[in-house]
Amino acid sequence: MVPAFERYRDIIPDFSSFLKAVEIRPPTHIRANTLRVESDKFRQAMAEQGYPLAPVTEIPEAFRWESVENPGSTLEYFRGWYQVQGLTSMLPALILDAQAGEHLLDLCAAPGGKATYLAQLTRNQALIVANDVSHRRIGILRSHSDRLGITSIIVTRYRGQSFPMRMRFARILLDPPCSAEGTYRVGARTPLTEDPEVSRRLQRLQQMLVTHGLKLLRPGGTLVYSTCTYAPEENEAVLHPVVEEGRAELIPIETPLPHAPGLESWNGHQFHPSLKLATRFYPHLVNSWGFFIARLRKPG
Amino acid sequence: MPGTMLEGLRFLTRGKTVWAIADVAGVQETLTAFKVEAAGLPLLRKRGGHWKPTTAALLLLEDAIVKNVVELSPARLDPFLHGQVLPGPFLTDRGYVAVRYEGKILGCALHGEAGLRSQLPRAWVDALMSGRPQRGEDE
Repeated sequence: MVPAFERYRDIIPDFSSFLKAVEIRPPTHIRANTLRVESDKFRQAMAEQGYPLAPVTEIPEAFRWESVENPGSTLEYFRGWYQVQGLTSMLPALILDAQAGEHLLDLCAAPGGKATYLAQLTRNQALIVANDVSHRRIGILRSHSDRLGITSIIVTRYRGQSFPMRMRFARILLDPPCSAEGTYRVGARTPLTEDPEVSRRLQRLQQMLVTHGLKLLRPGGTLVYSTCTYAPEENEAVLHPVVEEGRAELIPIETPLPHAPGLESWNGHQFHPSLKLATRFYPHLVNSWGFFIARLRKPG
Repeated sequence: MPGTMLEGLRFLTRGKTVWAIADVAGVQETLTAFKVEAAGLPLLRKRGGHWKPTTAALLLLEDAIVKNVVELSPARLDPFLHGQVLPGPFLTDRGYVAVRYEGKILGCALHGEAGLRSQLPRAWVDALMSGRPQRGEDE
């Protein structure tokens, strides 16, 4: 067993199934770029090239690709017909529910899977500021954005916690740096949180980012907070003071994929009861990466 | 090119790049408000005094491309991707051309005196080649 996960025994439902799931290599998921090609035509074209895809019924543009070693080494990928993206990683953009004409901010956007999906969902008709502090990762974001034919993304490079307060956004996606425990599956990396101090250090950054993100949001606007970690220190504990102090309220999430609710307590800490409206995705419930997603509304 | 291909876009030149960006209300204010690294999709880049169309632009405008297109045969794809200059003749003007493979646009190339040289983005080609067998032109 992965020792770092033992501390979650009491909060992850059906913990033994969870432990089994993390020992299984997850399938590759891809998202058809419907700016370039319709999902049905895409699947057919991939089949003709010898790449059999299984549809994900809950997300029309998502497909599962079994036993593929290099999903980015096809001409269809080169031509921007699809993006490789974890299934649960697609959800924050869907949950943000962005509309054409809106101004959106992805505060920690690189490498760009979520920002490019936002552009796809809004048919290149919203304005998306995709920000990240890392020059190298911004290069990857730009490469994906160009390949996918995205015309609605403006890329900036600021520290998220000091992003200039020169305009307010209708919706903000905040997927801050995290310990990434949820990406631990067999064949993938080891989790970082065997030392809980790592999560606590990240928590401070995450709290700064969410505080600043809310300042950048218009009154009545929506902020979706997501991480790929199970650590409550980086999830509920980050959002608790925000909700407790009335800076934002949790609003329910409609998602087609099975999940568990956010936590109301952890290790003797009580969280605001509305945090149960957040969602936790586990690999034994959805065969993808572990994820946490919360949707917040700034008071109008 | 049909005007509808460019509907909903506005164009701006910054440094050595011409960008196409979605013409959403407030885009100009947003571009002014921040130090911008990229503004939409790069259409043209200046190289040695000439404007070079980007591969991203050729893919975006694929349906409108009817002239100066070189169709690659399967045997010539891998040498082209590996950066080899493909000897002609090619029935196109000299200069930047679009390359098509299996009936679909692949990207940009330079048709010079020595032949046809890839102008495809290196990172995209690296990703493509990472799982492809290395093959020569004769195979």
